[in-house]
Amino acid sequence: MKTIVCRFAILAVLWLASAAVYADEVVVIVNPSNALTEISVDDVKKIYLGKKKFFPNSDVKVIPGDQPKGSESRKFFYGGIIGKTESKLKSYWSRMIFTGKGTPPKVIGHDDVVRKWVAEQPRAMGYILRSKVDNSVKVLDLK
Amino acid sequence: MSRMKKSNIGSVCCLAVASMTLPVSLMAGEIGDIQWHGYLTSSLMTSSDGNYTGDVSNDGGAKDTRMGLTVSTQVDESLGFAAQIKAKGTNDFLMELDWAFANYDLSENATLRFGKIKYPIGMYNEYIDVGYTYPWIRPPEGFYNQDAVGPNLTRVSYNGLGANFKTFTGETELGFDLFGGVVDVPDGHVNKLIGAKFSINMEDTFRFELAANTGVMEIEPGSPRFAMMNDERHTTYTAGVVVDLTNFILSSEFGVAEMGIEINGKRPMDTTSGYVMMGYRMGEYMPHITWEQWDVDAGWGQEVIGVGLRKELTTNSALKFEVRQVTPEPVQKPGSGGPMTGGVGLFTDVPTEKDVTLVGVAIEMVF
Repeated sequence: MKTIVCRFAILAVLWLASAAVYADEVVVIVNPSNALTEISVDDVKKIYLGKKKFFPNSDVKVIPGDQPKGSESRKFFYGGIIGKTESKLKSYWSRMIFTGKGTPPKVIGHDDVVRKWVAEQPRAMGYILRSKVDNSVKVLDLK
Repeated sequence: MSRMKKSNIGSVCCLAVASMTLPVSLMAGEIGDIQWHGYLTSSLMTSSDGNYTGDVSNDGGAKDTRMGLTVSTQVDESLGFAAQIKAKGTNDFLMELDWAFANYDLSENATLRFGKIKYPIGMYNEYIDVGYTYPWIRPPEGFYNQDAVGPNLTRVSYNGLGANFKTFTGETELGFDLFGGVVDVPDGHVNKLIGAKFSINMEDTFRFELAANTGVMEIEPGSPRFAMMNDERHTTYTAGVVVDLTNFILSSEFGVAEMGIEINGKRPMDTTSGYVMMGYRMGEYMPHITWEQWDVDAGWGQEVIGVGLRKELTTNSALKFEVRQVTPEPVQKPGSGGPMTGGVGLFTDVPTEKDVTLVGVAIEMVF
């Protein structure tokens, strides 16, 4: 019995650790001119699922940018922050698209392309790996 | 076959071939500021006896095969436009406008829509042609059949105005829809339609809807439904829930359709319908089971028990198998005074078997 409890505890710790790494590998970025310094995970989810169209506490419309399927950042972002598998994401957007209620964020490209796009677009929001961040973009603290 | 039909079938075939041969990831796209997407369902369903809903017989058939293209664009920060055209086997693959509307954002949480809008009653009705979005080859027909004798719970679309309001409590979205207009039906219209829907969505793991709508039927004088339904008020009430956990999925809906006409103190055209579906995802596979019941107060109806298997082929496509046992409720055989072996249910010709088996296979994709 004690062994089983230990194994479960180890598995739980490993699972929590992997989830934390998932969320930490990727960061949410905006243009440096954006006054925002932090954003809630809930708001990021709403923006990337088309349920929120403006930056928090602002009347500025946000333009979220996406990465292509298969990119490492996309895997971390949707798996760790949004909490949806590709299959569930496809099902969700199919419901939105084919009722005319919304379309998914534009696919901009991989990390370097997204960083360049966010640096040039004042209303942009994107996500990239932390290792790809430079001073051309602002990283938002996730709360 | 007319030149127009040939032309339409030709373009549909081209689209189908293109859909199958191009890499799926390349299909959806943008032309300027216009985004476009599409869906395709290719299906075959056969019955052991009788002709079910007018298009499934023991001759087999692929009339559920259908495809559609959706375009959308944002005209400015508040105004957008979206439209969908579709071609269905049940309509000889003639292209038709499924819906087209302008939407205007009053605020972040309030939107108005004007135009031809998909009927917002039923958890699946607004995207009922997009088979990829649900487990079955066909959603339960007692609830979703739009050709049934008598008033229907759901319709294809309405011409009019809709308003959507939403608010959030934490991660739970509360929605309220108001809509009104006119519905075109094959033999007339539902006029003075007004309806309302309340919905709860907890991050797509729990969705609940409660809806009601009412309108006045205007039936063409030549229609067999004219005497029974013309100028009668048609009212429906529906409730539905979808629970979608990591592996387990449950979907259930219940609806009542009321027609105002009374004969000898009874309202024979009123219908009641409900179903429960449960499924369990095991990797790429999801077996599911569904029980459904559909009753018309005049004395006919059916019970259906179905099992199916959905296999994800890619993140954009799925393969489905399904077997259903349909038990139409016995009715008096006209002129005989005695009960029949079988019943009517949603069959357009009366099966002789007590229980009719339907078998189907389908490939669904979105792009």
